[in-house]
Amino acid sequence: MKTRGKITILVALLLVATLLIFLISFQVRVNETAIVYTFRRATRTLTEPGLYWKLPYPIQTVTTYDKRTSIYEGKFQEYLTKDQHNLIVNIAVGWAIADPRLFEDKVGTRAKAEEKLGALVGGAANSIINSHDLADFVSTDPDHQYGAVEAAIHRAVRDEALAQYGLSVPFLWITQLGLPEDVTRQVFERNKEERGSKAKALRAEGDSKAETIRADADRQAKEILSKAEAEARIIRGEGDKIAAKHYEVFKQDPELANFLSSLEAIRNLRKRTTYILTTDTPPYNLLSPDAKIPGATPPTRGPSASPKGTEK
Amino acid sequence: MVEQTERQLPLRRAETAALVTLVVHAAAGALALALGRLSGSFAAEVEAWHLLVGVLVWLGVFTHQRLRRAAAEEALAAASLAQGRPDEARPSLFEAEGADLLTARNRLAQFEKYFLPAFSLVVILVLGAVSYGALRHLAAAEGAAAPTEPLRNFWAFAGIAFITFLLARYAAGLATQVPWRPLRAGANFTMSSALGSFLVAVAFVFCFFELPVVERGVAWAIPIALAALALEVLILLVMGFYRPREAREDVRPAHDSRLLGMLTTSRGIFRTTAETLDYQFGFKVSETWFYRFMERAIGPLILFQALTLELLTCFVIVDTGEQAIVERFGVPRAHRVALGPGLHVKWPWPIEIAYRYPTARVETLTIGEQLQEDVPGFEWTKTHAKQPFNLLVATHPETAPKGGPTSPALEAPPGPAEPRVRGARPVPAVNLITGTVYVFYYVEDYYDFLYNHDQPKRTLEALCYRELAAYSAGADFLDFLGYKRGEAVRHLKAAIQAAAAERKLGVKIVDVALQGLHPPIEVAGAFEEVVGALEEREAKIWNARGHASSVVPRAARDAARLLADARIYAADRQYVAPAAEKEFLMQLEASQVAPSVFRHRKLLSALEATLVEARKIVKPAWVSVKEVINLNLEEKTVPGAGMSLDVGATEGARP
Repeated sequence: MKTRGKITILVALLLVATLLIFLISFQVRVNETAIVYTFRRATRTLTEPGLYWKLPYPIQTVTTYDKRTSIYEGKFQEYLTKDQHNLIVNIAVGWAIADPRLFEDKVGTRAKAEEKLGALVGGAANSIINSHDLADFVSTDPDHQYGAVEAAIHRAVRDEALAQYGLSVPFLWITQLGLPEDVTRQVFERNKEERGSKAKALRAEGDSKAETIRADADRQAKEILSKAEAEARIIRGEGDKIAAKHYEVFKQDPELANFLSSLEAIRNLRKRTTYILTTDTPPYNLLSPDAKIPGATPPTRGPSASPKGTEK
Repeated sequence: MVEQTERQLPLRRAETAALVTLVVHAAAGALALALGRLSGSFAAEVEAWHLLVGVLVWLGVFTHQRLRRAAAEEALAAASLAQGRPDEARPSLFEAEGADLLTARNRLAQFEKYFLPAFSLVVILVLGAVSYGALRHLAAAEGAAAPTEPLRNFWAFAGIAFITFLLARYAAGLATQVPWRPLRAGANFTMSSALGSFLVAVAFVFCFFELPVVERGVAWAIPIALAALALEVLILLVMGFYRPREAREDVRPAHDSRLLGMLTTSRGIFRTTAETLDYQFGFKVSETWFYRFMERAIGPLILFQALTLELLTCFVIVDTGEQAIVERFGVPRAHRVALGPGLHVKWPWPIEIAYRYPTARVETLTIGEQLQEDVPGFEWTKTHAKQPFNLLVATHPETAPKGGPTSPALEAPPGPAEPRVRGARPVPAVNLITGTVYVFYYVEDYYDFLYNHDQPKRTLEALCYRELAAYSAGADFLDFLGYKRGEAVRHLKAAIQAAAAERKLGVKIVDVALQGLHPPIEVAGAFEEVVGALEEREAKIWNARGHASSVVPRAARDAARLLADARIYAADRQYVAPAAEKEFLMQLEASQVAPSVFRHRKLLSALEATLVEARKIVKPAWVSVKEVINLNLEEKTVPGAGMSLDVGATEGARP
């Protein structure tokens, strides 16, 4: 036989041997459990990891199950509490296959296991939530019973799942709480009203505080000015008192004194004042037709032009 | 096999074979359809349609073969006619007479040029429609009951498979002869039908042993194979347009599947492939050096590659930041010890298998509101989340609304029943809050992470939701929104870490971040209004403070001015009064000399000083003063009321 032929036969033998080994052996991983079926009858359950042998298909078949904990999250469900409040709850369940043979007989697939767990959880949650008030779930009271409710549902589900389906349920969590849509809308309405009222109160408080501050400031200002006015009057009075001693002299000719005082007052008038003067007032009496100018002929009575000839 | 010419072969044999096979396909298809419907077997129904498509294929083959026979008979008649003629009577070179007579040959040429590609297109459409319909039907019927009568069906399909196999082999044998080459397309298709029927028969054996999954698998496999066949025919059809052509070459239609040809030929895959390449490229690709080398070396090359791949599984390269656990026959090689970064050696697959994971990488879980990617910013009142997420939070009794129902939600539960235990316990006021919690973690213990939970990330996510829900259910709404956020973060981090450790998730919580915690979007505007009102209040207070801070100093300033003026006045009185006394005495003395002149001069002096810059209106003394009406601020007099004189500069008007 040629070398090429020998190699071909060797390779073929190797392939056949490999195929044979795959047909008669199987592995069980550390996180798995396996059941060996002989003509569809379970004959061996293997929980320890390693390499095992079996008779080739179809005499013996092997089904392996992952024994790690799986998580099942159901859908939101609406429950009624003891005090008649509707509550939407979502529950997550950790589960694993504890008894593979019972699981195979009663359940079969993981999808069906989750279906059954969902039904169990729904039933248990309904009866337990119905025996608790809303305050047991939602309350600022540190002794509220959120964990206790979880534990009660867990106990009910755990025992049933193990006995009926060969499933262990190491934990159960209430992962979300909510309110039905209509109730949520009402809560929002209440929130809006509450916040609106708070906003109005804040605005009113602002008005009140601002007015108080203004009034207090005005009072302080007025007080300061009043005190100053009082003090100023005293000071002025003292000045007048001192000056009065020197006014005795005016008694010698009061008419002259008053005249001079008037003149002084005229001097103190504002420069930008408009004065309406008559032609009786010196020196404008010279403009009067009746003015007596030494050596001049009196003008005719009537309106006369201004020195510049402008009439406005 | 020695190829023979038309002269040596019975011309009608191929046509007869095509017709018989066509009838068998029709009968077998009808039988298979009936069995499939009766037993509820999808595999049988799909195979029935497969067989019925064969009727179409064989119809094309029969027509093609018939035209070829006609052309051959015509050619034989023409040849014998030519032999009986004298040489001078034969048509000359450029005479069309000979060509005109060969109408069957022309018909065949037209058929092969136009009809065959169109027919291939019809086959593609029919195959595509059958596979699409079957797949859709299968998808809709997922979870249907197992078929009944598996034994009866097994015998029926085994019979169909046997008969079609014999027919396919017979037709394939005929097709080796050049005149009967068109039979090859039908033979290939019939062989595929035989294979399909055989698989269905095997599936019924599994059904008999209560393993219907095989039947369902075959039901899926057949339409997928038909779809692949349609695709191949389409590719061949398109490539046929670009193929170089030779005169008098043997036309091979596109629906003559090259893949199915491997089922009927005994020359092996390489030879069939070589023939396909030769046909497509128009020259002998199979005679090139490279092709011959590949034909010789492909086997050892594949073997070498397989061995190399197997040897490569002996090495594990663990990247920086990664850890790996190696299992030998499913058992971890070292208990709770993971391999660190570097090169490691192990037994080849499947003896040892390595599982790697980037344990050092900090990963993020997003709990709660999932933000939209295309939102430029985050505002309470604008939609920014993919879907709403509300957390139920409590409200402390001290901050809960007073004097009425604690919440409409709780006061008016749906349904006619009145609350049974109202008044027994204070009903808590609830609120809703939304936001996002980011949980940052890394894998601390890869062994626990790998072996305790089949979906550790999902479990951690559920755990985070649980802790968040539990915390918010016990937290005061305003506290949670406000200053106790830091406390919430610390609590959540500790609680999630403790729960993860209890469940042996093997993760370390690095940090927890509460981002964008806010009231739901429906009420966010109302909350912002409060913030606006708060700002408004502060603005008003600051405005008043501004008024106070200006009005009091201004009053102080005015007071100081007032006092200063008073002091000035007093000082004036104090110092000016003695001087005035002395002045008056001197003026008295002066006035006594010429009293009227003194007074007149004093008056003019005063007027001069006062009126020098002032505006003056001098009116005649005979006009009544009452008639002077000055209405506006421009200091103009009413025309005619008097004489307004602009005396201008009065330097020269000294009295």
